[in-house]
Amino acid sequence: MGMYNSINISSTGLSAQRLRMDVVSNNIANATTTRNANGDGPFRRDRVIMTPMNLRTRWKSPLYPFGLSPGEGKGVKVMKIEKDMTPLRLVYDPTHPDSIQIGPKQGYVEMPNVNIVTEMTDMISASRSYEANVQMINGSKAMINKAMEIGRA
Amino acid sequence: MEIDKSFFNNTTYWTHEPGKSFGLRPEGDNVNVNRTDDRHYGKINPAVSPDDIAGTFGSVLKKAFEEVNDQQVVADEMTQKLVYDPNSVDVHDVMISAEKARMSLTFTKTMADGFIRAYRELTSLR
Amino acid sequence: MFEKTHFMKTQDLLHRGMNASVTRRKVLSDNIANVDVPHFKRSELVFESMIQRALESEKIEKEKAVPTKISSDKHFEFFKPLDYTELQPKVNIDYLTTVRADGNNVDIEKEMVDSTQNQMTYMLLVERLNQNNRLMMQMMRSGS
Repeated sequence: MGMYNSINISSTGLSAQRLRMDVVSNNIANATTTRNANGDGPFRRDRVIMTPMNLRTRWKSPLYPFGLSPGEGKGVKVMKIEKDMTPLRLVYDPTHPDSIQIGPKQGYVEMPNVNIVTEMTDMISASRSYEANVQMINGSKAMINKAMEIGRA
Repeated sequence: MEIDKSFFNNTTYWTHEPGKSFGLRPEGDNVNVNRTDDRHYGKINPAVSPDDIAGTFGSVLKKAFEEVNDQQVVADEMTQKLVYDPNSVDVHDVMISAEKARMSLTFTKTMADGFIRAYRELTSLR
Repeated sequence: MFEKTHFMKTQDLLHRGMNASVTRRKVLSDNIANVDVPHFKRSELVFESMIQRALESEKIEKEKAVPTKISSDKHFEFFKPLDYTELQPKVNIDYLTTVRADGNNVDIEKEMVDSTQNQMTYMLLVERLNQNNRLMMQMMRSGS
């Protein structure tokens, strides 16, 4: 138990959703970047891997004791941001300075595998989760304020 | 075939003595029930009557004062925990313990005032 | 001093209800924070049904007509009512509700509605406790 534990949990959710939003906006901004910072290919889409802080099993384990209470969770955290390795889009444009010069794909330009519709869906989902977490924090604040009235005449 | 007869010589048997009940276990053994789960049946505590029969009026008063003091101490400890470890204590816990301490102290003062007034009235009869 | 009266039992139950409310709020906010984590399963808190069972067992034990005589204190006792002061709220992980495509089974609308109800229950419990306390203070003040 504790006063601020519920607020801490919701704030981890806020940070995770904010990070997700940043990644989405980075993807959209780089939707047509054909050259990476390292120079080894076009921009690849970023993806956020989130995990709960209290790891639990995915399925109900038959060996888990029935009466044992697993305890409340501790929120969510972003494990890593990894590149999405799905195949890149190929656009035929021999006049582009980054077009492939040799091989069977001569004349094609590799564009990033960013799909605007997917990114928009991610953005909407992230902002909805953010709002939900903010509402939880407001509710917890109201509860604490109400509890402080206990001795008041 | 050789039978190992030492078994019969070394073991003691419990025989029933007339007049004494055959107990569940030999005298002197104390069986403690070891509960591995809170939902199992275990050693039952003897029932405590709600009002403990106290010896004298003085001891009842002393116990009551000690309880009032304990409540004050608990309220103070909770308030201190608020400062150095706010995540271990709840808002309503602190407020409720403070309220209980205040109520018990006010009640004690009211009772003490009543007793003193009654005593004064009785002694000023003449 | 008044711990066994009906009034103090109500106050104690209100206090426990508040503790359970706070724990439930933590469980709900954990569910909402993990709303789009793959393979996350929501959890819920069990408290009210446990308390109800304990309180009803107290009522039933009073009405049982069979007196039991236990000849030794080392024997097990039966017909013993459950003590509600030993009950702690219990967190259950819910593996049984419908699971979305990414393995997550958190329904955010349900969690939000539950959290609103939980918040109102908490305010109600606090207000009720406060009313009782004010009543007691009034009684003490008017006596002197």
